[in-house]
Amino acid sequence: MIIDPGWGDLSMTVALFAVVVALSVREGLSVEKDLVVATIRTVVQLFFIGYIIKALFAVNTWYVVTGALLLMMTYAAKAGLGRMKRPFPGFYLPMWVGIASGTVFTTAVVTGAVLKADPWYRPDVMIPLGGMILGNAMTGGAIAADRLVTEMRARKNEIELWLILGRDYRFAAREAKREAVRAALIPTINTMMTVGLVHLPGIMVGQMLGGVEPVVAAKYQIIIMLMVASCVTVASSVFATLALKRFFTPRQQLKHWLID
Amino acid sequence: MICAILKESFSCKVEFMCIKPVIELRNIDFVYPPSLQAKEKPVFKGLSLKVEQGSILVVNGPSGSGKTTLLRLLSSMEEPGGGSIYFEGRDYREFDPPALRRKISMTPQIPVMLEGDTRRNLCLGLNKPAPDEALLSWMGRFGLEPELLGKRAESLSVGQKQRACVIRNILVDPVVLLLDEPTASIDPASSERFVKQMVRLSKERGLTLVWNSHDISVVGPVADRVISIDRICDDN
Ligand SMILES: Nc1ncnc2c1ncn2[C@@H]1O[C@H](COP(=O)(O)OP(=O)(O)O)[C@@H](O)[C@H]1O
Ligand SMILES: [Mg+2]
Repeated sequence: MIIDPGWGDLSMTVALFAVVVALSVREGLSVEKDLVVATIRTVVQLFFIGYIIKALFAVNTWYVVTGALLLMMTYAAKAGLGRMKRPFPGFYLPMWVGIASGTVFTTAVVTGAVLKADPWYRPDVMIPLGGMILGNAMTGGAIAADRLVTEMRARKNEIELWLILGRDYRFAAREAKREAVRAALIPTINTMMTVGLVHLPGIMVGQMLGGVEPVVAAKYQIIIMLMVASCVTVASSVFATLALKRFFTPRQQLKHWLID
Repeated sequence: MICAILKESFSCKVEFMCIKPVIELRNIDFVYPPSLQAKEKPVFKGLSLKVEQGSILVVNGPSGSGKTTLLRLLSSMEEPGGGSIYFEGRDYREFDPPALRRKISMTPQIPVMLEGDTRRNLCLGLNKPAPDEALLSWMGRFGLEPELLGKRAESLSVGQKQRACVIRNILVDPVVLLLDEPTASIDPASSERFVKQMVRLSKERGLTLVWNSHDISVVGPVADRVISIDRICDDN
């Protein structure tokens, strides 16, 4: 049995919203304004995308589906970098390629080998899965980007030492890159450790509320967890590999003035 | 505008016509790229300099005059804005930077030690670690006690680290060794011993030394050539 909340029912979530705002005011968090904006954006964006996806599900052509994913990737790369504490020049392309590689690889495996979507571009599979993978790739990329800059700054002397001793820049900065990829992966690994014990993922809850058999929902959740791990790893390592170059001149000199 | 002028202080070695410079700077301009805080002023303008093969060149000048910057240019850690640098007659730009840096090895002013013991830190520039006997013999030459070999490198004193850094560079077997104030944190007796060892090394191997020092009393006497960098400021 699927409960489809009516519009009136949905508006009852206002109670949740009111509590959040009231607390924010009382505790002087001064996030009320942000909260109002965020809530309005959540509602508008989700309905908007709901209808867009509905429309996308109806068109059954590979180029519309691929085009939609490409557009989402481009936005994701920008949004991912927007989350950085301090922007770093030349990160856009590495971020785009990172997110794209993570998304294409993971989506291909899941839709092709696991779910065996037919036709391969089936929009009701590709769009939600691709979008979700993309979102995780973006988060992973953003964490890796921030961490990479921090590590490069902290390890400046070590990196220059390796260069002076005649190592190439990839060797010199390999620890910084490793730390960046590791940092991107840690939230995912932690989630995988506790999934089902400490929390039930939103998607699984959503599926069960939507009437799906719990074991089937669990299967999907397993796919999703591994999917997230894979896209985060691929996206953050491809990003970090490409982004590393931006810290060095073509003559393999550390651009110390960018990280000082 | 600021420019650097090189002053020949004295030259005590007979220079043969046939000696080719191992390093030559021609008309070097250099400005640090602007950082977030400030616009940089030029450090060098039209700097030319020849370093003879096997010689000991001492670079003298007050703090902030550009001694460290000069060594960074020589080790290809900074790129000149204008002019060219030649190693054995070939433009730096023709070399693969890592290969060039193994030939022209720099010991930085502030010694850097990584995780692990002194043994590991001495061998960072090598593909496989050198045998302990070799390391101990080098350490002995520079007055470092054998016990230090197994000690955590980060626990060494600054003076000990500086000498360990020099050994690390020597082990790479460079053609030119660039030393940035290597005796700044060593006591006078050790300094003297260090200078002696470096002279011996230079003779033994034909190693060229470019030696930064703000105080020429220590190394001046053994230098083949001393140059001073003066920074002349006029805020036009
Ligand atoms: N990383 C840097 N970024 C910007 N300016 C620098 C940097 N390092 C040195 N400088 C400036 O370049 C000049 C020369 O410095 P340096 O070569 O370190 O002199 P020295 O070694 O003789 O004390 C100084 O004015 C210094 O402020
Ligand atoms: Mg200096």
